Amino acid sequence: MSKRDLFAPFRPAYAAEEQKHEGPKYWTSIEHKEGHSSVVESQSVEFPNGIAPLGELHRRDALKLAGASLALAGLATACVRRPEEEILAYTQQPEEIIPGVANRYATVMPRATGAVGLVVTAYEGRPTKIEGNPLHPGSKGAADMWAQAEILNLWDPDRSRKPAKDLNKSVDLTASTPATWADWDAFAATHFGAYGEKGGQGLAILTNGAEKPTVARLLAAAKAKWPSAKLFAWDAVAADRAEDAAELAFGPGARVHNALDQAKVIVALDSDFLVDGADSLALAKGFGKRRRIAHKDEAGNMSRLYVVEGVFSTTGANADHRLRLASSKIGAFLQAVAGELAGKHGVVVGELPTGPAPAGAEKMVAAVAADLAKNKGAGVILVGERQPVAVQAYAMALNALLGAADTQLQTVSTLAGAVARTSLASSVAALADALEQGEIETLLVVDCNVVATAPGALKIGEALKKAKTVVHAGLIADETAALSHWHLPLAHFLESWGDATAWDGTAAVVQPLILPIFGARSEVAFFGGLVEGKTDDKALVEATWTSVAAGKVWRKALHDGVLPASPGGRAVAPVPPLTAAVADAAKKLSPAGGKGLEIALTFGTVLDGRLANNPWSIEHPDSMTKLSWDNALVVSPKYAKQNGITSGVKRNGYQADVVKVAVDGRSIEAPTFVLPGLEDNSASLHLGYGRKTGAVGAGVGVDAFPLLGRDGGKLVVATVERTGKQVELASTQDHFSRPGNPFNEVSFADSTAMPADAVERRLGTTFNGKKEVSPVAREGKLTIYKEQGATPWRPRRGDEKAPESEFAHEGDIPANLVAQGTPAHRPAMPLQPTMDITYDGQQWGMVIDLTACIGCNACSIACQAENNVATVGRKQVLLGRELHWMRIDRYFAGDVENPTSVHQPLTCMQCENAPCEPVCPVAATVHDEEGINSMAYNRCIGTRYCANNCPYKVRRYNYLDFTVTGNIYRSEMPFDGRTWAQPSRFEVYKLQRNPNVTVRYRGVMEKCTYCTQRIEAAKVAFKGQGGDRKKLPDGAVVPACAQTCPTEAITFGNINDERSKVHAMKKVDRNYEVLSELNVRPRTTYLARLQNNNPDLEG
Amino acid sequence: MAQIFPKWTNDIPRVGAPLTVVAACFATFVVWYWFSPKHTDVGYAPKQPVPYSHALHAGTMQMDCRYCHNNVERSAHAGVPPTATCMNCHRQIKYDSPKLGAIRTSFQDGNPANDGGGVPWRRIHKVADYAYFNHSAHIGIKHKGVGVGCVTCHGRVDQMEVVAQQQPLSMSWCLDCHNNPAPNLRPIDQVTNMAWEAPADWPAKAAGIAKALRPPGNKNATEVLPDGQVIVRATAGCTGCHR
Repeated sequence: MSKRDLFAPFRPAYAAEEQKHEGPKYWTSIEHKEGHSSVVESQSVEFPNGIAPLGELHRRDALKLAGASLALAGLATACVRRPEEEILAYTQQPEEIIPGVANRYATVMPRATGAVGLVVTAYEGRPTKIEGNPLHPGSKGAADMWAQAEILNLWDPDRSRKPAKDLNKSVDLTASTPATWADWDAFAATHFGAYGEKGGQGLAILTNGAEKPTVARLLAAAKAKWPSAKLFAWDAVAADRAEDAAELAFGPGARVHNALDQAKVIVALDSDFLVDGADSLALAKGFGKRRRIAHKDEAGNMSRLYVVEGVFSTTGANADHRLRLASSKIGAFLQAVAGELAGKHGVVVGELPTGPAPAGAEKMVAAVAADLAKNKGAGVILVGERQPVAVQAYAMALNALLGAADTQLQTVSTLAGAVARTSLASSVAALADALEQGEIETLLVVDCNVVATAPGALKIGEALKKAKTVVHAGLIADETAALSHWHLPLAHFLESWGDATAWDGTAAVVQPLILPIFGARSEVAFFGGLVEGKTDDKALVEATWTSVAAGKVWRKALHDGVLPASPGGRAVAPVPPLTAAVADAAKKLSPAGGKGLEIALTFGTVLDGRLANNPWSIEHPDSMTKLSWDNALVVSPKYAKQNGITSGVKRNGYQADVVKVAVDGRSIEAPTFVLPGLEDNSASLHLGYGRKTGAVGAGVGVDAFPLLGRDGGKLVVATVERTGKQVELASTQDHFSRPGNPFNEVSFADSTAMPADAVERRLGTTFNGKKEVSPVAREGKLTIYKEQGATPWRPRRGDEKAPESEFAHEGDIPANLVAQGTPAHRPAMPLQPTMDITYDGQQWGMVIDLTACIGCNACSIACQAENNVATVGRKQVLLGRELHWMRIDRYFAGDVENPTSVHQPLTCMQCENAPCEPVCPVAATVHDEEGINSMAYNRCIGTRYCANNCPYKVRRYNYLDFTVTGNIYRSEMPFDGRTWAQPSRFEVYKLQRNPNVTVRYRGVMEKCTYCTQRIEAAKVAFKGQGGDRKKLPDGAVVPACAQTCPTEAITFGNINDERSKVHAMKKVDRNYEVLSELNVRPRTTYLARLQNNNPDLEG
Repeated sequence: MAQIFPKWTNDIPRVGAPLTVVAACFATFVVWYWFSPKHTDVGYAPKQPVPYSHALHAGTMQMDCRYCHNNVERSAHAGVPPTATCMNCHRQIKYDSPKLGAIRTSFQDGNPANDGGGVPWRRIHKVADYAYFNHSAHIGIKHKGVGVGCVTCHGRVDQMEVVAQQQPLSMSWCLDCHNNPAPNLRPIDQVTNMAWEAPADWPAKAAGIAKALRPPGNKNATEVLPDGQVIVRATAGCTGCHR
């Protein structure tokens, strides 16, 4: 027998079949759709990453090593000694701590877009996981990926450990003069004492945009103490223009709230409201409520989402109807909708100016207007932060005129005695001017990295040098610290007492979970010390709230994580829109745009850079581009073609052309990424990358802040030039996403005798001698579902066109999951032999509703935090070695210019006929009695047979010791002239680990376990209450992913319990198994996605 | 050319073959016996920083195990008592005993070298880091009114001057009991009773309860031997202990 060339591409028959038709229906990248060899072949070889991709190990080396390891093994076994371990008990046991039992505390994360209430888990005083607080209006039980990743920011080894002087003299921290808090206090007493006489002339304080009552109180006290001092604020992520717009539309102090669970029609104009902007978690929660449809009779409840945007946002991927329209034309679109409403549907729009529809948008304008008119009071228009204030205010006023306020869909809250606000953008511009003119002697920057995140046009870094004394207080010695005379370590919010206000005005107390680990001071203590001479942050916070909550009420507020409403706080009130003012502003609006590429500056996984030094965030693939560790200028395929940009998929990575992007003379060089679905002349670029400090985030990606103009607007028009350079980016879009030949490695049963390319061995169902793969993601139209329920998928016959709606597979009903036997529709010769299984007792299962899933990545980060999933570094991602247990596949469907997109979270499916199990030579992966495909790490010897045999490609392998290298594997060890010892980083990061999950070592396979530690904990807890661990009540076990999902798309539970939610979900007729023809019988199934289509926009 | 190998080398295979067999058998025995936790771990009795006598406290004075190991019913870890627990009595009794020096230092000013002053007790019973044992789940199966006694795994601690490990705490040892838990079950109120003896009617009762502990699910959970005996696996999967 000739030796098989393992590197030879094995082009599976399904790929050929796909090409015979019109290409794959669902595709991950343009290259995949077009069948480029770079994707199809690398996906289909047995080892997509090659056998020894690093090229460092040859046969002889391997033999040498084998010999050496044998010899060493002899030595080692001879020296096995039981290590002596100590048990260090407490001297005095703290009252609430039971070693081994987690404590959970409610706290809140201040954020400029509204605080997020959190419940944080701590083991023996060591915070390990962040979850949402169900009682808090800004969270409602969910936490987004950024809030959850904050736990790793707390344990960031790069955090400043002591005050430092004269950082501005050198970027190198070691060269700065170390100082102590006593030094600072002595300095502050004299320095700030001197300002008392001057009334604060020359003093300025810069804070971030989050609403914090105690800090505000102390700043007001500072203003009273130093009347001439100036207060500034800046926050790149704030919903600055949304607040300005609310003020324009409803008067000072106004703020708009949307309850999307009341909405039947949502029109998102250039708005990524599901993941970005004010109150996004609550919006997603409300949105999800109207997207979970369990039966065709409920179809009438489903909301319809129209998205009109230039870029392809996560919200756009959820649209029922999406129109590509340049951001600069959104205002015109909105006015056209108003015109249509006024002209055809008799809606009174008052003075609001109207206009004709932009070219190509006529149909959409008509459909949107008709739908809004039909659903008066249940329709809402949301406009994104990039749009001018006038456009946003216009939409708010229009919503009010459409009666959104009558149904509580859109409410307006006001603040008693509010004065006109100063926008953050004008505040930071004023700061830059004041610095430039030398009006500021001493600048105090607290928790605001203004140098890195202020609009580039302000050149604040230069201006800062004109101040005599710059004091920076922050978590980490960042770009601002590098230009400061004093740098003071600030405590993380998990170490501080404080308070923060949610978007709806609900205040909550920031409660510390731990003392400041690096001896830092909290923001409240810092200001308290400066203004009132008090550094007891707890007392300072209590002093703010004594009139509202004291004694029992205070303790309840701490327990619940929500303070009672305070008099004079934000209150919802019926406020009529100031249409004249809005109309005036709209008329004054000069048409934006101009020659060049419209670039939307957006936020990705690292937000504005506050999470750039966080390995979880920076490694997590972006929701749409699936870029990990990098940002890129995302352009449309047409733009790329016209401008000779040749960026494209290359093996596991992405070869990107670098371009020079210039706005008003400010330019950066950025790699390009071609994403389908963007408006031809629109592009997007994530902010927050290209940082200069921090061992993880420094030098990763490009800094896009220099492109921001003076007004801080996140839409810029740029000229783009090719540079001829190319870089490699790590995009995971084609990783793991297709099974290739699923049973490549080992063949089963009847298949053993078959040649490798036999038709029977291929993926798919045979029909008329042809193979057809059932779509991995399925979707259908609501109109069809409403009439017929789920039409089953079936293979196409001859040249028949694919059916319009593809819901469940014939026979994919839950009875098959619960009952014994093979479903009738399965192929005559199933690829995986059927095992005779009776489901009995507790049987775990999961259903993921693809209609509700918005692709926000929160589940994936929750999983990473809960299960000690390590990060691997860019180089390893390029090799396809990322470890995320929960992978969120993003598929496109339709044509390259204007596709639709669907997100599909994929984890281990816990197959009942698990193909991974029989191939494990050491039985490290076996079924337990409750149906979980368990993974005993300590038994695994790392053959990787299981991963090869997994059709879903959800098993992850520790190629290197990713954990001990400090949660981050960077081969480029020296950083910025300094070297950092990897093990010492691990010493800090390891304090985040969940003690109930084994930390995996090199050479071990790992995968989703349905959070088996939570199942066991629930059993033990129930047993402790006198219950039977085999009869857990429904809802007793919630895996991390399901817990945090803002739209509740993930349901988990006992599928055998007929009263359980998951059982009901499995009975929904849209329930389907991915790759059901394999007969592996996965326990995780999906509900086919529904498109709430508007028949007017079809045909 | 002279022969490379002298004639006696012909005997090597003849003598060597049986010797190899013997050596292989011996090596197997060495690993099987001396490498097993039964040999390596049982009897481990490290010297403690304070010569605390369980025989005196739990035996003679009849203190309940849970006076000190007070988290055993609530947590995976039984817990070693904080220094304050010792001082509850030793403030009055033998307060100046030189043997209690480490306790007093810990209580009075803490010893920074010991992470805030905890007494550095030596750990005796240890399962591997990847095995998650939970005390509270074992000592009280409340809805059945049974539990596994402390003595089953820890031996007659009330008779030990210096505590030594009595059982191997190996996986096979765990599984022996999980496969056939009945002999080790006792009424829940007798769990900490070191000297409990089963009444005559207990074994039958325990066997019935053990049967009810059988997890439903796939067929791995129980096995019927040819002679009709039912082997019960209280936990059939890996996930109960390995996560």
